[in-house]
Amino acid sequence: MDSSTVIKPELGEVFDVELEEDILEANRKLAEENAETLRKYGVRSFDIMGSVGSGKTSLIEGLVQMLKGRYRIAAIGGDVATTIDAERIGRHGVKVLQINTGKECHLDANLVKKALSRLDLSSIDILFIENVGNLICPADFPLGCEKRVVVISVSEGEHMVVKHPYIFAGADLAVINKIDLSTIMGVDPSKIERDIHLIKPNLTVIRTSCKTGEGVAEVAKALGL
Amino acid sequence: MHELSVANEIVRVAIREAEKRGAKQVKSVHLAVGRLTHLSKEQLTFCYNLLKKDTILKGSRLIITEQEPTVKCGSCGYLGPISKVADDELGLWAVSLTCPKCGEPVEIKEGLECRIKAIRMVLDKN
Repeated sequence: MDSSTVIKPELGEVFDVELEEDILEANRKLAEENAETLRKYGVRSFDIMGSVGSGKTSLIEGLVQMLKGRYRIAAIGGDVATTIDAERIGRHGVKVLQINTGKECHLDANLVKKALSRLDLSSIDILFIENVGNLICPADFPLGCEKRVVVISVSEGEHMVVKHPYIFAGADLAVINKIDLSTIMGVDPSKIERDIHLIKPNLTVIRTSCKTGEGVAEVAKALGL
Repeated sequence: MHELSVANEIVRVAIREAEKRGAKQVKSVHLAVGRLTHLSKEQLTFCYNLLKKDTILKGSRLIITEQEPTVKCGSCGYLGPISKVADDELGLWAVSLTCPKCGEPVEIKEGLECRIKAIRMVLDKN
């Protein structure tokens, strides 16, 4: 193009710089890198999300207990503070790493990348990552796992799904836990399931009681394990 | 809840772009935020205004446009606004990944972004 037809701002003039820079994209790119690393080593990875107290650790414990004879398993626990959950999972004889986020309310792909560099991925078949207990922020921060699982429990009440639709929209599997408490809580799990399918019609939903072990085998099956 | 770290990144990018062009002042930073993110407009603006102090951005405004979600249906080819489910009795409102035309699952095309679209700056005469 002839330079006389290109309009450039004079110095001192107001100038609009056009950019297309996505702030959340940096995390998504790192998540893709994590996914690539995990694929390279043949590690199957699962991001377990859910509220505080929904049963994420119990679900991982149940899955580890069931699968540790067949697979080499590792787990990464994410919490604001303490190593309590990682220690619980570690008691089942698998490798665990704890990420303490300090103040952040979710794990992000960068923290997971750091954790992956501390694991011997060639000696792992399955990696469970327990996200920070939160139904909001983790939705915006994919970690690069093969599947994202959201755990909800009947003790959280009937309306948790419609109050937190985005985390369900981005999930690959939903687990309704503490199903043994539904009568006591007066919560109908079918209602929770209907809400989940309103948000995401093709999402597989499994009812569990991690306490009694009910449904844990179905979760393993749904994850292709 | 993570508006502070997102605002920090916005400030970092805006300062980088302003310095790259030798700007003497930044007037405004224009941001598109998808409604499917959990980012709050008010909190982002609040954090931006805290972080801009003592930087080249100090006299600038963060202008946020909310991006409506768009979905694409793999079955019937629908491309358009996302379906919504509402329960007026409970005051609930939620999005649904169901195709408004054929009821099949849809894929999100827009609504997850937090994109700096433009930065308005005044260039230095020297």
